[in-house]
Amino acid sequence: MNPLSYKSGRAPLSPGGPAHPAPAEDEEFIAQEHFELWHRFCENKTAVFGLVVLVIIILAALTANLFLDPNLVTLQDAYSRGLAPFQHSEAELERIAAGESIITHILGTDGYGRDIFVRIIFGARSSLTIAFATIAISCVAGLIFGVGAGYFGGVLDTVVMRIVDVFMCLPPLLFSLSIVSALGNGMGNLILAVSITMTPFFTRVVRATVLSVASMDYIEAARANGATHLHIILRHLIPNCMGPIIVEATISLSSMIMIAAGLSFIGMGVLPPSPEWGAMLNESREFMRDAPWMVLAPGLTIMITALSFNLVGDGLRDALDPRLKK
Amino acid sequence: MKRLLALALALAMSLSLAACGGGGETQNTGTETNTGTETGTTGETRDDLTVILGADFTTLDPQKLPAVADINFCTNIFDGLVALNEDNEVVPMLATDWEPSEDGLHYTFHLREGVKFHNGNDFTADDVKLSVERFRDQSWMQFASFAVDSCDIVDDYTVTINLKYAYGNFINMLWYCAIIDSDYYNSVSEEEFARNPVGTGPFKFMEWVPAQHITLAANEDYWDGAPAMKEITFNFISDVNTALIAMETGQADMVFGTALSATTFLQAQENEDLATDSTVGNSFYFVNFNSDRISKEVRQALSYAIDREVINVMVNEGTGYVGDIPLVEGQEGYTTDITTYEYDPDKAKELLAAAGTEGLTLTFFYGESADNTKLGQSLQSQFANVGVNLELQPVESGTWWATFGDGDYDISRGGYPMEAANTDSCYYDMFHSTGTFNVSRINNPEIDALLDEARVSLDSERRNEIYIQVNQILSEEAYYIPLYFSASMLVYNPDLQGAHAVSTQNYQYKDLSW
Repeated sequence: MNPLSYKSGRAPLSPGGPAHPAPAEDEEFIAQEHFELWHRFCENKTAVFGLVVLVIIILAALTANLFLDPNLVTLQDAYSRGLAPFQHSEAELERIAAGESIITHILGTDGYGRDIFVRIIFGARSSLTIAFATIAISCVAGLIFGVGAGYFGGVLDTVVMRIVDVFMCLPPLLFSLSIVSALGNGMGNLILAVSITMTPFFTRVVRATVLSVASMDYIEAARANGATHLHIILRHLIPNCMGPIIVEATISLSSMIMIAAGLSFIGMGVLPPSPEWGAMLNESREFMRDAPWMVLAPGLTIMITALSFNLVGDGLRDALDPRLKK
Repeated sequence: MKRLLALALALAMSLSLAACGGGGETQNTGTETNTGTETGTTGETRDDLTVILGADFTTLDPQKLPAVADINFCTNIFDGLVALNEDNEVVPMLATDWEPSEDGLHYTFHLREGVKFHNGNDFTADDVKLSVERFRDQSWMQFASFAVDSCDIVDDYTVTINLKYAYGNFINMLWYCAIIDSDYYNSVSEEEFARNPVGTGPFKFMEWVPAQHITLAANEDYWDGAPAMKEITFNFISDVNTALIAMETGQADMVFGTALSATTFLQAQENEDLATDSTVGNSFYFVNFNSDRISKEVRQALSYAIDREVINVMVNEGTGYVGDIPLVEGQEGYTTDITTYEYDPDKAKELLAAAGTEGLTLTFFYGESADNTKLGQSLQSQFANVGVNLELQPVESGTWWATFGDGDYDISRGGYPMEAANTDSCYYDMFHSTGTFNVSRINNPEIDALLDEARVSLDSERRNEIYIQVNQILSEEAYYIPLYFSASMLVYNPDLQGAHAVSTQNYQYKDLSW
């Protein structure tokens, strides 16, 4: 639940991973490295399970238009409200008898008579877009601030890190909520708000990694050879920091799914009638007693997606840090 | 940045308040169960009552109450000179009788003798003078007191109220003036007065634990006889599901108003251990067009595009009462001789095409609430059927109240608690160009002139004619889409005698017994 939770309870990552040769030009070596990484990841069965689930969800979201009618997402029907899974209303049965083809409500219908399964599949687009976009933005921002602070140090480090400290004092959900309230509802504002909230966390991770990588011999060597700061950062520093950042990003994706759902749940996220898992959860809350499937479907979807991201993240961490296992 | 900070602070505060509220409820309902089982096992007749209210009060100063629900609550602690009974007739309370002057500018009231306030002070003309003057000066009371000019004491038990102009509906609005104790009022601060109300009503104020409960006790010396209920606890439960569970487990005996939703009401109906009652409520709901922006042709076309029965099902689970005008039979101005727009999407499309407005995109501006979101989505879906794209523009409801007057919108929505015995105050407020709740931005000189005339007319027949005329113009111009009266719903303990749904939700607990 707590988007902060990934901060604690995790073994520190070894920065840089296995001894990467400094200017890693050797293609064969890299390919071998990647194969080993993949091999180690595949040994972790739960992580593979998470990955398979995620691939299914992402593929379903991308190809939804091919097998589902997008109009069904918003099509209201006063006579098909609150249908149980696999149930049809009388009006629908008549239309089926008349030869019309009507979608089977695999997960039932909601309070407006809209098909829940269709909405969950199309809702995956909003949820995944928000999650990936926020991670991408805050990763890039975190990389800029973190490398700046960690590599150059001194006053810049102090200033950046104190600002980060201040921002981290605010509970992430409350902070995002305040930004969305100030900017107004909508997906763009939601992404911006959550990105701003997440940037300090990434800045911290990046800085810590940069600090240990920057003292490595190969950085010293590059500097002795007269490489510019830009060259050192782009060619040596960032490639060797990527491991922990990727792990951090993957695990944060589950928090992003939760924050996005949380904000939509309280009506601060994606605007209706666009489907969003959190908003669907909120809309169906009042029917919980009579039609529990309305709540269960989006709720379980959020849970499974967030869990899968966590499993993949854990798997990646173990794979990237061979010392942690065995 | 300043705005951001303010918002952040406000949010932090409201969240912490909400947390306190949540904790309080559980604690409180816990103690209620104990008393419930005690009386249950001993088999004694109960003389206590537990009522669920949806929201806590901001004040108990009877002349600073911001909401109708608060005013209704306080009529159990305070009496007025008069009251409205359930048939909406004016009946004597602290005034035994009264006579207006011929020009309608002065009303002389003879007061009930021997009445005492809860603190033992005698009720006299001094109290009435202070109450009426305070009633006149408080901004929250302006909707009812705008015609009052002054109050003169004739003797200890006779007063005269003078009006600024002859206002035919004055006596129908006088029940809003709660009579307060002048000695008590002058001896305490405004804050103290707002926290410890002292009136002459059937129930005495005992205790107020903010966000948890209010307790009232029977006024044994009440001039109209002591009430049967000796102690009433009002618990604040804002979540409708929690409120229903409290009813089902016997922790509360009565729930209505915002603590009850259409869904929980229907759930309660299926429960054999609970009694339910429902009647047409007095709040009427509209979809308001911003008539500055949207032409008459488009307004009429969109009126044909709306299936109000479906909206009633989507928003109210079908519990509301669809109507064409915000009045019920018997009220001044009620008529069926108006222009109506039956659901006809093909005609709507035709009219839109004739108006040359294909591919129209409109905004729907509303204060965020569960009902408004449902209404917005239903409208969106129905407008889409006739090719109109409706964009939802929700804002926090406080913001809506602050900005609808000059808000930048095409369509909004209004709900108005209609005065059963006074068409003037509601119509003037909603449809006059200077009205404070003119959500449709109506600026029609003809309507203004008619409403101005009706306001000062003393002839009920004439007023009736005028309001019928106003209704005909309003419906012809299609300034708004009339939706429905919400239902006034009540869920109660079946052992409770005398309980039934009241249109205005003004529940008088002195009429209840076990």
